[in-house]
Amino acid sequence: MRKELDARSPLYLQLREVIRGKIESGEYPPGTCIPSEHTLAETYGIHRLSVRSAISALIYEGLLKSVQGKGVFVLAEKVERDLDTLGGFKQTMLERNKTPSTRILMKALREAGKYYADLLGMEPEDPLYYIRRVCSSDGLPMSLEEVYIPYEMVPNLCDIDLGVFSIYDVYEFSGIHLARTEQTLDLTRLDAADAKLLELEADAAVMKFQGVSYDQQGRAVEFARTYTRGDTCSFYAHYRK
Amino acid sequence: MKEYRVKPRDLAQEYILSYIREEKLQPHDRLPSERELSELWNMNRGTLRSAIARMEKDGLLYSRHGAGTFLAMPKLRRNLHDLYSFSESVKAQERMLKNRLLSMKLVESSRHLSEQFQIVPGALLYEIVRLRIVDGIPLLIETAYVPEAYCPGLEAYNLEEESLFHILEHFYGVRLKQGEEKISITYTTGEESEILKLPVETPVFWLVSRSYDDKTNLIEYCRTVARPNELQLTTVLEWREGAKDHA
Repeated sequence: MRKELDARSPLYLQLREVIRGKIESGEYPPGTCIPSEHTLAETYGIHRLSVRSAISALIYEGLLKSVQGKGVFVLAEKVERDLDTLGGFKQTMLERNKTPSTRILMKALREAGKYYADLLGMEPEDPLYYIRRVCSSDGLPMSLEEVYIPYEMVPNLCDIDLGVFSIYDVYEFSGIHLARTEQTLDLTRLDAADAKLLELEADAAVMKFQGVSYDQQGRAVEFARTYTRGDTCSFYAHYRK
Repeated sequence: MKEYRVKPRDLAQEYILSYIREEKLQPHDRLPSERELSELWNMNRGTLRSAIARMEKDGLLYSRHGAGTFLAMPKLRRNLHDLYSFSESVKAQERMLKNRLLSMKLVESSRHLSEQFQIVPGALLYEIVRLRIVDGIPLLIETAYVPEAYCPGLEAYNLEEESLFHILEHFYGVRLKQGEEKISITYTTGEESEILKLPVETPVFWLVSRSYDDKTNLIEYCRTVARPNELQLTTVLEWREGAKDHA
């Protein structure tokens, strides 16, 4: 193998990664403008179209922002959330000195139906709460959540203002202690209507979390489906041997 | 409290999912036709069509022109808490894994990587780019960096057949202990699109992992681009006592 100090494999010299590296190392600090397309094309000897595609990838990703007539700016760090302790939106935002807010779009009862009955261990004709809400941080929408809770778990949920109390507060009031959430994470795209709620364009890619939470007795307490913006949020998971 | 009338398309999707479960449909089994399902559930055909289209987008179903709609293979699941045994986990899911080494070379550490590894800029790192192919589908491109100091002569080993962590542990005495992975979304470059057989600027998983030894030295820094339609990440969250504090 040859020592290649100037490794020119296209994979290594992807401009997207070069720019990312400069943002990460602080060479391009938040709030500043990166060099123009023209300058980058000259510096790296790359076609302007390739430069544009690298920049637009980082704009979609939420690292850069293009301002008409002014240039392309580096944005502040994304909100990072820990998957090992994830569960409450409110607390995470407070820890990050952000002001959380939620807008309830729907809070109603429905018949569980076969699908959710199987998932949550109830009868298809049993009542099920359906809550749909948008969670924002400093006024910026971050996620669209749909939560399904068996009526039997928290019969008084209908009387509680979810603008004031979090769902976890409500569990606490009802003596429910969550023990475990099994989650899956997919990438998906949003319909125009859902995208609009998150102030995204139709077909925008988002992270979709789904999972059932169980309490200490092993009862299924809720099923939640959350669509989270990828340009403002990233997640951490830890592994151990 | 008001009664919620479930949106017809959402209801159709619930029916289809329950049908798949109850009838124990297997991957590549055919779903009854739109007409049959609309009679079975007394449901508008347009509603069913839009539910099926949504499920195709999510990779749960696929259609073949003139032949009907079929149940897709389940996505490959990757447990975020257990990154050491990707190949075993692929096997456990009865999938075929092939690794292809796209490139391997020594590179000078950039400023960013030097900060990560706490080594001087310009120190040498192995850069290993591998493609993981599952059941013939190019699924992940992994670009791993390991300081040469930990594993001089690494090029002598077969990185298509053996795992990097296994080689580090067994031949270099490096004890990998724990790590973390950051999960976000990026958009493919021309090169990645070609390798993963996707259109340019397709949204994909962007995973950055850091693995440490028992003395908390960073050993491997790895960036992964993963096709979203064939991969699902899984986690288990254990709520601590007083979970309320985190709510």
